[in-house]
Amino acid sequence: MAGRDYMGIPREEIPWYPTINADLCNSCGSCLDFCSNNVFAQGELHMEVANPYNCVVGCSACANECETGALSFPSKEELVKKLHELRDKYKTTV
Amino acid sequence: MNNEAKSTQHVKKAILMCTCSFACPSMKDINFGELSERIRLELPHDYMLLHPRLCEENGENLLADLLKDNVLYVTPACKEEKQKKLLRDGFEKAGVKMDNNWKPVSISFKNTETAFNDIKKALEEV
Repeated sequence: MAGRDYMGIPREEIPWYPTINADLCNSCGSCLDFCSNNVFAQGELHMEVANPYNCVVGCSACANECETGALSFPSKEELVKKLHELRDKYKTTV
Repeated sequence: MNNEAKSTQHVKKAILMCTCSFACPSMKDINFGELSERIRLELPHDYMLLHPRLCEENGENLLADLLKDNVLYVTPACKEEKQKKLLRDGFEKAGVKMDNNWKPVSISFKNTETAFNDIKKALEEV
């Protein structure tokens, strides 16, 4: 899915994707079942983020599915700040 | 939809389309501008809206203000089972029962044409 843009910004420039706390992950696979975009994969010891840039920017719905609270995302404020920086870099109008 | 829902006398049919920020890889083959205009022109319904993320607070607030008991809501969005989880809070905030007033349509991994046809089919079924 590489090469997609988000608001005119290359997706790979935007640090929005889940982080898995390995200490909390019990490898139940609920995130894998929930996400349609192949962001997650079953690792040997715990779930892994296999395709981070398949994650929809701003979406954190999978975190609500994780019963152990092992998934986290940047804050909305951090995302907006980063998008402002990238907007300036790419001079998009959004 | 259950039998109770089928017997409910809905006055209106509304389409609430969630575009997943226009950024979901699973919807990359959908031209939402073309899809919404074709729906508006060709399919029988009372009104339609597109929202980038009905499942988050902004969308839930909209649903809470918008939803009514006498309207049947067709929701083209992600997979049906995901929609049930993600839209539940919005329906609850509005006090409208999903069982009676909601018909999901998955437009995940569809293109514009197949999404249109699936929405058309859903409207015909309700």
